[in-house]
Amino acid sequence: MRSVVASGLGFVTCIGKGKAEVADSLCRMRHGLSLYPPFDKPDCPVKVVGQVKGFEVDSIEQEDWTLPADMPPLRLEQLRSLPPHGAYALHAVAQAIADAGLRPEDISNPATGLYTASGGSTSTLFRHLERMHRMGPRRCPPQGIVSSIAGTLNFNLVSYFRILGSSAGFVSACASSGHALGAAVDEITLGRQERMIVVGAEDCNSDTILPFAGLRALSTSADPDKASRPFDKARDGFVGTGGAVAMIIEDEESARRRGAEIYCRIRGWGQASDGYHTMMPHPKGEGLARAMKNALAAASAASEDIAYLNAHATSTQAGDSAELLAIRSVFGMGKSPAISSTKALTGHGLSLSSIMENAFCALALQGGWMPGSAHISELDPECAGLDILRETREGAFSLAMSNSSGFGGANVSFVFERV
Amino acid sequence: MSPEQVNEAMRRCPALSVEAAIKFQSERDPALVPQIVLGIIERFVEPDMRAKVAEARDETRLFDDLGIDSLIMVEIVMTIEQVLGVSAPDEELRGLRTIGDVKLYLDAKLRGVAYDPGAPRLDLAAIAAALPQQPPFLFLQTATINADGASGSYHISGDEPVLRGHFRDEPVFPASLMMESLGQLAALYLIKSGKTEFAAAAQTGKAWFISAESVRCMRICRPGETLSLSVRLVRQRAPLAVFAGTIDVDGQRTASIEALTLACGQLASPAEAPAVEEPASDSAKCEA
Repeated sequence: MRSVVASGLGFVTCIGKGKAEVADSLCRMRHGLSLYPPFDKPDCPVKVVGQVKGFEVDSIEQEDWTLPADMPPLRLEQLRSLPPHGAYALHAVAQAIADAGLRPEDISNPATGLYTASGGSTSTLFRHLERMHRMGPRRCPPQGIVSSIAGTLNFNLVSYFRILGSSAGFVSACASSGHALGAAVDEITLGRQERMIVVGAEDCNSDTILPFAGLRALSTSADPDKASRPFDKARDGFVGTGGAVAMIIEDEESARRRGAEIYCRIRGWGQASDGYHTMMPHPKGEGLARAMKNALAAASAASEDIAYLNAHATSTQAGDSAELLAIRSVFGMGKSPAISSTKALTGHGLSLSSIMENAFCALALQGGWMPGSAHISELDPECAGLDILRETREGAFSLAMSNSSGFGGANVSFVFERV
Repeated sequence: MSPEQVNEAMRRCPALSVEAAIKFQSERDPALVPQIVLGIIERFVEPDMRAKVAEARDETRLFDDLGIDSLIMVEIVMTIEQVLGVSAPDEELRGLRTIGDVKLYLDAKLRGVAYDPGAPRLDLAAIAAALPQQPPFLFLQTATINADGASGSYHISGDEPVLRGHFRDEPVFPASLMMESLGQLAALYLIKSGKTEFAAAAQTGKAWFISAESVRCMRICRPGETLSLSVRLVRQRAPLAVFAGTIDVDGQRTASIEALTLACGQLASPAEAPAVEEPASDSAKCEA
């Protein structure tokens, strides 16, 4: 079966724009969280967000936005179809393309596809609908739908980059970009595509993040240094973030033939569902455990071969606990990989989180380090016996695993290999 | 709409078009419409097209020249509807191809008459049927009638009889015939405009040359070249109409007339026609 490798990465995140800054933040365990001014109201219980710097994209009118100087060029018509996270995603994909050393004719090519993941732009959808209700349907701008609904990311990116191969969007909440990457890997192993661009992105604003306060899933801490603390005993919910991460994967042979720089090999991936609750994970993490086993099977790897595991762990009581149980059931007692949740540094990027953490694993494998799990004051006793990294650990290693779980009990797991 | 509402609806439109739109709210003067519409169009086209819009002529094509596709058109029309207070259903917009079509369409809207998209474009047969001039003295082959003028073309074949004598051994299209071609186009406009002011021309099928001021020829025209003709009505007082006219060849200015005066309808002799007064000088206005 064809082997798939990662050859390009692009990052627009709260811990950095571009792989150098991101790798540095991960190694130094420097978080990107801060007090979010729109939350500075007495009736708002949430205070901290992982804000994306360098992009001012709050206005409903895209022409008001302030974008980085190195933004890919946009025609007026293209700009006015973008959601806020579309701006992040364009930048991230452009970074990844440059990083992979691919030319426009490689991108706009029947053998190149693009899979995306985002929840759509809640704020844009809200504003257009509000306008429609107030002024009538004939006063809705034509781009109202394509700039807002789930799918907006693939509508915009497939047309902008002139993608001719496979394209689709994936919607499974926090597992979305994991499903996107897995399906993209399959496109290559099945021989349908030579290379795939996978991009996850999410708006970083009140309308996307604050509704989670309704289900009491967000941390109410006002201390950016403490709010996001997966595996800490006193963890009280996740911190929201947005941005975009793009990964370019290719058939290994053709990547090597063109002399591409390779981050890692994607040995295999697996998925499984909890079949339990719309929002709560299975208390014993049964779906996640099966997803991990499926990934190991697809990778022809044994659990003891996994050196590092990037956990989904979002810093919620229920979620982290379930994952710890799932990890134990897969790895057995006393055979723990080194574990960290980088959400302590980045917060939870929702649809973005899976590809972001998969990309972190690619950086870690290439760089030869494992990022620590930050902000733990008192380790949850449920972690006893597991190797939760309190600091970044230097040293090359062979196999990494990355988990993501989403609403409805969707679970995705990947095995990555150093090349 | 209040000035604030106009400013909001026309955000990012050129300042002069916004001013015209504010003025339009109280005056409802159709003469303001071209500036308003061009300002709205300029706002929605790609930045590298804006110069083209500023220089747009009636025959500038919305899609081929300005890149305005059907969806951009929706946004343009939405803004026009709001600012001019008209309703422009999609079926009516489908036939609009040029800036001239848009102006003509809105002019009809504001005057409350039906817009006939098919009417204005005329070929040689339609022109010959309308004008009293006939070959070999017809120097107009295609024409488009717009709200405030007309455009057209004439291709110098080289077989024109006059060219044998102008000049000896070197055929050159005479300047007087350049003026004649513009006059014929202006006459066609008067006959075809459908405006009540020019009913005499429409009824009799005739318009008479009265005078021409500031006629300039910048280039020599030879067989094989196509003259792009354009006339614009600058002022009128029945039965007289005064036009500004230009001729371009391949985008280069070739000839111009500042004031070409025609008289509509049946006159015993041109000497009967009253003069059209110059507009009052600005200094007179300032004294108030």
